[in-house]
Amino acid sequence: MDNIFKIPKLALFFSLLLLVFSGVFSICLGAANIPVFTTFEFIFQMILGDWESSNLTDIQKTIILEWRLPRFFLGALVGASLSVAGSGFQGVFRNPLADPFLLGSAAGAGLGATLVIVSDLEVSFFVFGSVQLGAFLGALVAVLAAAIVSSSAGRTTASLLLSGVAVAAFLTACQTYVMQRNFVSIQEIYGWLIGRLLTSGWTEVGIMFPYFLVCFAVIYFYARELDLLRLSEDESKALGGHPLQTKIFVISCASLMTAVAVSVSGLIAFVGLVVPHVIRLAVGSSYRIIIPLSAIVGGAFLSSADTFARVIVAPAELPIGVITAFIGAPFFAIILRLSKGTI
Amino acid sequence: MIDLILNKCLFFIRNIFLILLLNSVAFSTIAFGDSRPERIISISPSLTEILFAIGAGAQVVAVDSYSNYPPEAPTTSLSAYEPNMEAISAFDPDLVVLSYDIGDLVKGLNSVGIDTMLLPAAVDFEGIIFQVEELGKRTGNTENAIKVAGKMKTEMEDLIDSRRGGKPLRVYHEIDENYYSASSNSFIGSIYGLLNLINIADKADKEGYGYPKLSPEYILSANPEIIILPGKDLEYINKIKIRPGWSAIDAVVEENFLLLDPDIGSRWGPRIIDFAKSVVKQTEEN
Repeated sequence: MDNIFKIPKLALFFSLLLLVFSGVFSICLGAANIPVFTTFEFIFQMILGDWESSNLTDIQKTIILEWRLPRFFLGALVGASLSVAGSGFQGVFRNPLADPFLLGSAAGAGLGATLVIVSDLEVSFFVFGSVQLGAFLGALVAVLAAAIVSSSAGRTTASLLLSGVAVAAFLTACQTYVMQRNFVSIQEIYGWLIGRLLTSGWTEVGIMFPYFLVCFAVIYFYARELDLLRLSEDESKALGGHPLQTKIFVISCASLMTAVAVSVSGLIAFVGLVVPHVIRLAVGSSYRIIIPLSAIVGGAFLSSADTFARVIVAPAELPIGVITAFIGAPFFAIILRLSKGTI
Repeated sequence: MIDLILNKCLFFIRNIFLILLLNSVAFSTIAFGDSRPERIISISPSLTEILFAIGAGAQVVAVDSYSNYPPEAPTTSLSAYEPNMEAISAFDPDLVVLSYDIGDLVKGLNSVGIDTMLLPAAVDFEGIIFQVEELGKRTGNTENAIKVAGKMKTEMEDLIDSRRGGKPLRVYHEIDENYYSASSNSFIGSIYGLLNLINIADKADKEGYGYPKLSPEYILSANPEIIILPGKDLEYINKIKIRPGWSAIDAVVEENFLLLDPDIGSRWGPRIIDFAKSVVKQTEEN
């Protein structure tokens, strides 16, 4: 694991600090009437293992431990997954516009979720709810379809990209058709499409964590290969790389990660595209840096965005996709202007 | 050095998880009482209307931003479609009634001891009556609710009787300018069938979704004799009169239009009776 030593210590320190801040921020703020300072105190007592001395009521404790804390972890995991998947796709396709939804997983998940919502289907598998299951399967089917279509067209990255576009267009059309036929559910579907992190309890975090860990480990393992791929496939081979193997593993893991993230949070745009670029511009362009830092910063960014979504218009709540783009886009524009690096 | 830090972090995270695991077990045993709820929140405009109609209004402390009827309903900016669980809990409710369980809302509220009642959109008149009675039982207004439901049933039966043997006119129910309509598979569109009228949207809704989108050509060829339009002012009528070809439709020739407040058209509640009455009145003008 010589990869770890590539990460500049200062950048690692700041991104971890950012994650901790966003954690504190999301646990202390909310629409329920819980004093911010007492909450803060409670977190410290909790870390020290002291449960009894807090003056919070049991209900307030539940709100913090069962609502806010899992939501922070879920936001962090979704943000990290999308950002790592985004950097993986950008690396494999050597395309700065690549994002986690490149191969049609968004369209597939959208169709899956829409079908479940309109049919009022109540299936559950293990701990997955029906909408989550629909989205997850939809995303996987879409990526597989793109892979199958492109496999007979020469297996180049360009053909995979184009197959992704075709599959996405087809599935989006199906989804729009179903939605159009189901006037009543439009608002519910639309809410899901722009993404939301509504959760309570630890189930979703529990589902996501193992997937994230495994997929992250695999993609991180291929970081050096992705760096070699930045040259070209032939040069990568000449330098001892395994471009085909890299492509297969990174694309599979990035797609799986995206599918899991989308199944719990809906389609949160922008995070997976932009976070890797921010790291690339601010810290360095090696994937050994981009992948781990994207995970941390992506997690911090999404969980902070979610806190904003819960707090700004309380007692209502904004869809998180609105916040990620509304805050993220200008921020990205500033970084882009200030940077001297190239995308 | 960094490995050491990472190790420490992992250890810390693991500790938090362990603590939380123990904790969630401790809190999961909160029991609900069956007592009469005194602090109700409704995040469904339809259910708000029903609650006030059955005399549970005094028990309602907050309703969502779309719940604008009756006027005395305590409208807040709580959202029905992007519900903010913490904001709901901040009102300290003992019962939350809702029509859509978005994102674990029911589970989350239950986890802090707030009781919930989920009543999804009714699809016919029977469904509305059922919800009136159920809300009555749950809020401790059983007698009142049975009275209200009984009155609704009698009034509806009278209306049905008054239309028996009448001419089965063709009705087009327009929801918006994209020609979305309500078929007999929706609670609002099912009223026409009860009143011995022909809902032209039924032919376009073989799958039974309830709200098909009609083609403009089909509307012309079906030649409706009554058109129900969304809106509160006459503006809408002027707009549809100038649609190409519409001047030949019977309803347009006879000026046989009925404006329906979109709120009433989209909420299953006691006001459905007022709507049914105005439909019957409109048929009498024919």
